[in-house]
Amino acid sequence: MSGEVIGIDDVSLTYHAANSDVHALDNVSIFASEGEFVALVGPSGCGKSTLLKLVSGLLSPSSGAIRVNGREIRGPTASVGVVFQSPLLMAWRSILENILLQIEIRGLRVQDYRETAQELIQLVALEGFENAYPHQLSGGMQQRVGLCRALIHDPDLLLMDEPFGALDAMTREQMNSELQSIWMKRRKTVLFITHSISEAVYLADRVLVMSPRPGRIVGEIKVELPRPRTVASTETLEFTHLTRQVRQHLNTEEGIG
Amino acid sequence: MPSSWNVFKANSVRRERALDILMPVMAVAVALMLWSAAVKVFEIPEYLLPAPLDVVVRLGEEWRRLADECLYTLQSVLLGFSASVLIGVPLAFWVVCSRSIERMLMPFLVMSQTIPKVAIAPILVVWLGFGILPKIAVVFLISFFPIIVSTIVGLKGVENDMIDLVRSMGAKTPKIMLKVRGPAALPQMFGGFKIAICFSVVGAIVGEFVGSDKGVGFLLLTSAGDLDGSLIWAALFVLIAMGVILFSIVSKLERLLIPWHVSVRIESTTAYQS
Repeated sequence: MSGEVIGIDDVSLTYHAANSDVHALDNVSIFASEGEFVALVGPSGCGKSTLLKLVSGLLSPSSGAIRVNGREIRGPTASVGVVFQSPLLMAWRSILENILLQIEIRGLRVQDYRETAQELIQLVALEGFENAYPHQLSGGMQQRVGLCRALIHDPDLLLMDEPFGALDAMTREQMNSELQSIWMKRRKTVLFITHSISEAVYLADRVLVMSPRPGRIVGEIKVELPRPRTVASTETLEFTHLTRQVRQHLNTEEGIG
Repeated sequence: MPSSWNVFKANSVRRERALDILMPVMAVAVALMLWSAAVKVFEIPEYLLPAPLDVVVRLGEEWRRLADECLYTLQSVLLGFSASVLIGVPLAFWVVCSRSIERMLMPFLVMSQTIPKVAIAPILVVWLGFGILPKIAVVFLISFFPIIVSTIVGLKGVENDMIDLVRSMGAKTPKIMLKVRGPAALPQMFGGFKIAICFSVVGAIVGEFVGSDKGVGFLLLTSAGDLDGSLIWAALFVLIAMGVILFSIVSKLERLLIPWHVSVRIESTTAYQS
């Protein structure tokens, strides 16, 4: 595939727990091309986060291959930025220093990235907070800092693991709309993991549905709603139709529907 | 923010600071007054318990000698404590880096703590002589344990996700230690330092009890032999002052080094929230 950024090719993962083997992922294949926003929905414990750890190189698959930008992943790679559910900011670092952590750890020249950091801070509307400390910020603001930190080294791929799962509903809605506008400006390839169906449909170009453990991809729904999507677009018939489709895939897998 | 709010906040911070000093001073003053009253009312003889004022007078008379003994004791406290920090902290890092090191080292650490220091102090004197070395050794033995234990707890107490995050950036163990676990452990480390500095003073006195002709411990021993109540208490006052001052120096350092931690912050936590 041309312009393929993520290539998860027939990946399975079995890990050894206390006294039994856990089959976490079963022949999962996901491909995403440049600039595509892919959301992954599934029940909790289906291996969504495991998949993300595989792509970021924190785990290796039992079988199959994972490529980012055509290069097979063997350990953490240079071209990925990760956002977790909790902001994971370091209490002893200012906002700016937290963002630049990515640069420090990767051994890049911090001086070269100060300007980029400032741009990102403006992008997420946190001007004036550069020298504040995490405890002085609200949860939503903290997560925006986490987003800046994931973007500072201009990665090809942004991995997000339920990034807004811990926020209240209103902040979450706002963060979704901000993420969309940031994505529209920067056009990164995004792999977004969530258990919220409407969030997935609102944000993604394509929604993939995962089954309970062992995780498999059981459905793929293309979302062709025009952008920028707004709260109004979540109230359209088409939106409802799409969320119903996703829900059906989830339900058949869980034996409810 | 309106300026009147800032003024109010500045005032309340200043008030908190003033109370930080005023309240403990008042508590101690009240305790001393009760003590004086008790000595008077119950007519307690001086060799059993002198009145605080007598102790203060004695402090004035003997200050030169007390200062000398105090400096000697302070030396072993500071040297022993420094050794504990310089050995305990790196050892804790090592233990956290390697499971095998932890498995092999921890039994010895725990065993070393179950041995009463008073019991091995004489052996230390046999090994190290009558100089300052056995005292430093007792201080070290008594104070390195809280330092190493609390540092290990601090280093291990980092969320797995945080470690995953920096690993996803390509960090290996040394960088994780330096940039994540190390700074994250500082609050616990200081908890250990605070316990250790107080233990150090105890350790120095234990060391001096066993074999010394100098130091506050030696002075305590001889003045107790003479039933010299006010000198015993003068020596104890010096010891208490030493402990309190050392403890507050460690607390000051804590404030300087970890202004970000909940235990140290005094300003409003929501200062910037919108």
